[in-house]
Amino acid sequence: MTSKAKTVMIVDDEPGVLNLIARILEGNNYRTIKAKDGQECLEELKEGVPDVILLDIMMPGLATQEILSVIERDSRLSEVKIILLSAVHLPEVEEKGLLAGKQVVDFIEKSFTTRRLIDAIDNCITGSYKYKTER
Amino acid sequence: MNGSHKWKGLYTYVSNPHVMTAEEVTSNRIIRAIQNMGEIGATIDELSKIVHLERHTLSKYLNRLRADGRLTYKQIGRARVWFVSRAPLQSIFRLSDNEKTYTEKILSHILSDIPEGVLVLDFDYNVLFMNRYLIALYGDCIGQKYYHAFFDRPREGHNQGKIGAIIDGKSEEIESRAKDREGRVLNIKARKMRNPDGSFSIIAIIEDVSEKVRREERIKHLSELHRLLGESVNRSYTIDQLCSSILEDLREVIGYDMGDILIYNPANNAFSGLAQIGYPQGEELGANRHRGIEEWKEGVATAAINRREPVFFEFKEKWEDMKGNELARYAHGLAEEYDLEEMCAVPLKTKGELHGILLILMGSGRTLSEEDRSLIEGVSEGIAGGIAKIKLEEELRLKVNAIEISRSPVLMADMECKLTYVNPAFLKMWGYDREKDVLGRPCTEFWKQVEGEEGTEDILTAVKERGNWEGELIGVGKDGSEFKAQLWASLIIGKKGPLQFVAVAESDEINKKWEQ
Repeated sequence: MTSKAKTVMIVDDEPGVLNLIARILEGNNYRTIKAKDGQECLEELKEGVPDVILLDIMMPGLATQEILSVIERDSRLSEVKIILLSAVHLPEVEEKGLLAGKQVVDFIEKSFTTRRLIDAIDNCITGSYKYKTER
Repeated sequence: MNGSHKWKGLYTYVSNPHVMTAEEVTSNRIIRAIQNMGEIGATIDELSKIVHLERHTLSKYLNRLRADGRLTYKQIGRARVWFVSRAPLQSIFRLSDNEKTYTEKILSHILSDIPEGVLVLDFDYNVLFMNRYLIALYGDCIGQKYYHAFFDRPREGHNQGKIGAIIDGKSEEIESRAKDREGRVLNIKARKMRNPDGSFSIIAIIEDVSEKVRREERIKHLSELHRLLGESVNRSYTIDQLCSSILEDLREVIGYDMGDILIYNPANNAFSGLAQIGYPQGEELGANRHRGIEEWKEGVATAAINRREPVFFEFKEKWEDMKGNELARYAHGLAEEYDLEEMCAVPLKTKGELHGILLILMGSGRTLSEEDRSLIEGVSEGIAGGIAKIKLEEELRLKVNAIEISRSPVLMADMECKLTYVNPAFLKMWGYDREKDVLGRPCTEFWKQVEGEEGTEDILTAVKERGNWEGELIGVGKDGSEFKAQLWASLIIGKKGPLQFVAVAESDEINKKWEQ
């Protein structure tokens, strides 16, 4: 792992998904931070700033909107890009206004291929966002 | 039974006399003496002469009987005129606080504040007592016949809470439901009550369960609709099949006149009418008239889509309020065409996605009840969910078609690496005729490693570790022939974790062979 490796924080309450994504991203030369819910995500963000956050939006505890607001208000985190992960469909996510968040750049609907996931993260790093550019 | 008085009092019917104490005998003599005086009542002097008791002793008895609620008096000048209490319990509520005993105060609070109706009847259906709950519903009906006061019937019948069964001696207690004069549904629990003097009356606990019954009915209908909807979704292959089936099911539960389901396409903000029911048949509509009707329906549907909530039209009742409204032109067109009384347009929305509009039209003189409206709204998300499911299945079938005609072999495998899907190009390249010859077999039987490359086992390990694998391998055909192929493999992640492997293969070697 080089010092240039980008960091991805994965936030998902499903351990099977959390650990699998972390393993796959590490296998693709990303550093990873794992959080099992919104609270742990915010705690981890006090310790360090990732390049990308993969945020599941159907978790118990803190509401997604709340997590996004906290991130948005923290100037340290202004460069962090967020990809939403969800088992619900895009229209429902749009209706909840979650895609309106300034730092939200993509939305991946479960089930997804790892190709789609890695492309989305790569695009975040290079600045070519799928969702925002399509809008 | 003593039928000479309208009022028989709570203790009139001594049908089961028991051995009485001397005190009880005296008390009954006093009560009978007062009853015999009729409506004018009796003073203490008059009573003293009839029952042959000294004024002082008689006064003690009278006050005791009053405290028991059996007698009451009116103060006329300096004299008290005594009467038999026609409604002993009710008298508690008519006394001022100063006149009540401590027990009477507690009892009156309990009976007044109890959240159900408490009713006491004599055996001739006369209302002797009703608490605040019942007075709020029916007014003060003390002295009136139960069947008249509650059911507006001239005489007792079987549909008035079955209280007659107790009076006729057929039951000791009953529990029943009956509709009162206002259409309220009453839950009535009543039983025979033995009074201290051996007579009987009826005590009933009455609850207005109209709302509960409405809820139960709604749940029953809603459950039935959801059951029918589930069956329709399972039976239907296409959205138009499903929509026709839904309209029929809905019509069975809610007897509406005409209905449509318009499917919404958000990409071009347009509708397609896939199903309708109940419209007049046999009449040849001109092209213009037909276009007009379609335009009106779409206008109403568009407005409901924009509002994202149901729109109800009452053409006769509230039409004046709607004039000038954006919808008025379209709705009015339909109302004129079909002589409508009411119409509703309900968006079919689930998980934030609008799938269409349910239009329900009621002809002249026909209306939707509150329950019907509530049912339609209640089932709309289920209908939208059914449409979404069939739509998704249709989309998947279309996408599968694309994979089926692809020239590139595509395969899917479970987490044990056993094949779960292959397309025709895969079968052709590997030399098989039928899917069933390959499905369930390990992927490793269909390829092996290229010398100097990663081992075949490593492809799957690599996919599990890194999510993807791209590279060259040696395909092994059905007849044992070998060919070079490129493979692109990826892992599919589901809600709980890894689901399947998916891979696409290419073989220039085979392609060239086919081209020759």
